[in-house]
Amino acid sequence: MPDKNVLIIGGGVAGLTAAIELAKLDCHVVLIEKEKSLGGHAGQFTCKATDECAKCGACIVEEKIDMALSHANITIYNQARLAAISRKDRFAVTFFTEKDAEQSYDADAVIVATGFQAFDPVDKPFGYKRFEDVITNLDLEKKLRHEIEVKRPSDGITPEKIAFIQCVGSRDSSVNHLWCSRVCCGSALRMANLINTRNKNTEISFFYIDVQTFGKDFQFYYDRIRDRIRMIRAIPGDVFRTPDGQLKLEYYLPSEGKQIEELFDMIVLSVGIIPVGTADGMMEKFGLEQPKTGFPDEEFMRPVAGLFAAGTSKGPKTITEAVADAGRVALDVVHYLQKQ
Amino acid sequence: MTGRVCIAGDGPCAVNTAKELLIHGIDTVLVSRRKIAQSELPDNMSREGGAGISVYGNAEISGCSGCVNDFRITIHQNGAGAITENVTGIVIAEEYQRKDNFETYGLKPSHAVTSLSEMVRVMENKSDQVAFPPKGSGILFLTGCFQESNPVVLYDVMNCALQLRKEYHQDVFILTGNLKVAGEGLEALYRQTRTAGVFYIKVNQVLPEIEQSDEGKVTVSCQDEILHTAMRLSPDLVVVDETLLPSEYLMKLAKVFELNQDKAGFLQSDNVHRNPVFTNRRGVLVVGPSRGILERREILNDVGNVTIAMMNQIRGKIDSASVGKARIGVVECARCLTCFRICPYKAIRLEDRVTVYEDACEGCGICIAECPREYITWTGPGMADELEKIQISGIADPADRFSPVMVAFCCQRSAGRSVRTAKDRSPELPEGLKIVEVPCAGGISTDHILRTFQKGADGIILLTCHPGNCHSEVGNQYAKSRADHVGKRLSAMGFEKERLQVDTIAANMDREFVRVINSFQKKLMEIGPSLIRKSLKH
Repeated sequence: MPDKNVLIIGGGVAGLTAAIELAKLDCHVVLIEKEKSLGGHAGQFTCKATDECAKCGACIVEEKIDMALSHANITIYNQARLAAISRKDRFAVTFFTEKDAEQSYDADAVIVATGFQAFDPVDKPFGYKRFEDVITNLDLEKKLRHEIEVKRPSDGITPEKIAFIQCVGSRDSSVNHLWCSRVCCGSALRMANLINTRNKNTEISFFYIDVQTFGKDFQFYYDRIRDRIRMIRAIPGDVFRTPDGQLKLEYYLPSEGKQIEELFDMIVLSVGIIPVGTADGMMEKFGLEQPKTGFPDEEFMRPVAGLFAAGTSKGPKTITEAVADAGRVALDVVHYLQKQ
Repeated sequence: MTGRVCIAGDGPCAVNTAKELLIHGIDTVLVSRRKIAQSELPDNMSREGGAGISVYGNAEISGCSGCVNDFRITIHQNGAGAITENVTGIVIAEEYQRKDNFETYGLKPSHAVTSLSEMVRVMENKSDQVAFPPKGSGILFLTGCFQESNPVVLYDVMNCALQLRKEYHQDVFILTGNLKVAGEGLEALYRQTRTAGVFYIKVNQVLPEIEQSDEGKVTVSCQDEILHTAMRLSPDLVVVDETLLPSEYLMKLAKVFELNQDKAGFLQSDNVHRNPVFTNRRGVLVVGPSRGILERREILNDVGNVTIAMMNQIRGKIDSASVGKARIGVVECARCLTCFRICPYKAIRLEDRVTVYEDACEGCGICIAECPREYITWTGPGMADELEKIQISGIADPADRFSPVMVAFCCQRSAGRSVRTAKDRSPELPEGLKIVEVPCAGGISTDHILRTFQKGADGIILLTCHPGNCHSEVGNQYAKSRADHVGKRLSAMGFEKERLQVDTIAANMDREFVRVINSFQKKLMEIGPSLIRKSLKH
């Protein structure tokens, strides 16, 4: 596909993969990323290997960054933002680069790979932002990437008891999020396993609705960790802080049939994957309204020829699923360009 | 190179792959174990300037030789005997085998016990006379109670349940362990079934007790974990869920193509480097139900990825970490077959002499390091050249603070990447650190290690991928066992074996890299300079 230009909005794992695949097929790609560095959310995740690889896919992001940076057909702008976009025969795109310079680009196709937004749990009764030791799974990813042993944010002490609370902002009709975020069971259990492997004295409780299958050998993995992690099928109520700085959690323990109060040193909230909105108002520019679930799918994008979406912008996906999706979208783009 | 691709499969996945490849100008040979009806195939099977899609029905693939770009496959067709086809690439696109879980639940099929597939079939063919009992004690689905299920099965369960409720006005119960709603749209579908009146009972800790009478009727006693109530159900019909497995034929194809499998037997090892559709062999790709349990959308994604990979392969664009390839000395080779046995990519050809298929070689260097007579060499710049570049000088003044010279051999897919980020972010890496990037840690030979010590290195650290993350599958194991072996020999010679260390680092763990290096440096400072380095001139 020589002489064809593709604009990719978003330099996460999906945007990078689509860029690499299109570049290999001789398309010219301009990728704009709003942050300073490439990789998106997954680019900040930790390796979760213990004595063996946990198959989370976080390491793959580095490979994608390397490949995209070194490909002659890909031009990347970091800290860039879209200014205007319109479509006649092609897309006329203007965007601001890092130094606020305005740049124009004529694209034959556009891929929206803007990823996801993490649900903000501040309105949930779990004390996020009120208590330092309540963090999200994404905070924990970053922490584990930099610290060998997890320390409690408030005082730097190694926590003896950690609670993971799943489905915060997912499968939640109170906020109209009628979807499972798909990746949090895998990410949280792998991190729980990593923490417990590094420090056997840290007891981990896992509060959940349903444990979701992840990875190729889920049954095997699950059987192995179930003995070491307290699996509690309940979503706790309020979190309080005790005078000596611990976190008190109330939950209904089904096996006992009663309400329990338990103290923890740290609480990790697995926050849901929610849509980013309409990519800086871009979709409105094409007369597309907010999709029903908030995640645009193929059907939703169809009215605008040449406009595609890839990765978690379309809905929750693991790293490896986002890679597979972006590969597929790259082929769809090539197919569209061939027909032009 | 014929530019043709062989597809193994007899279902929608194989046909969709053939269609998609045809759209992008790639001819295919579809080998199906059953006769595929014309109605299942695309209307247009030909293309301008090519052969399009050709089909072998009632046929099996029984052999494969050659390598990427030049495979020769043997097809056994009923009534026609063996046929050989030359193809550029191979796509395995077989469907799942669905195994009913009657035994798991201690049940036998009867008028009151049926399988999920059977129920799906009944729901799909509405014309079938559905003899549902008059509204009585209802229909019970058993899913994921004694073993974990998956979204693909749950979709079928909930879809059937919804139809039974809405169209046949049945009382429907779903007894489940973890409800696998992580599939596209499944949480929404779950809500829909609940609104329609499907009743869910969740168990996990206390498993249900299931009994079947001689007449085949089933009684289930269970304890709902969420509601904390005991229940006893005597449904008119029990629908039992299924396990999705690789078929026996798929297992056979794994042998024919020498592919690594995952624990369940699907034809792709559980290794993130194989994602999405790659196997341990170049040019052999695996799609959807042949590589794991995937949803419809994901299978379509796989078909797209296979198409892109084949387009690139035919255009001669294959990603490779290594520029070098292995070459076996023609005269010297003693045909011990070590290389043939260990090559993780099956890139060694065994004909009148042992040679390397260049197109299939990934350049990991494992055969080079393992060849007992050192008769295998690199075609490109090899690791030995990298080692030549390392300059180590002696110690100027013994009174100075000792700064150990450390050589870190880094797999370029993992530690090599983490080094690059570490250099950007932590410029304070020890000055005595020398990095040698290698295509795979499995290619670091005993000779490389000994020569590096000979040059005066105070310590050597081999940084490999984590087990299960090695692109060559076992390169990290070779690195580890070789280091153990060398360590023993060093000890015997009176050389501190602690100077040789093996660690695992992932590509994204730059801080961990710095930490590992710093602690190795600390250890070497305690041991002091190596004897060899002390004897070097400054």
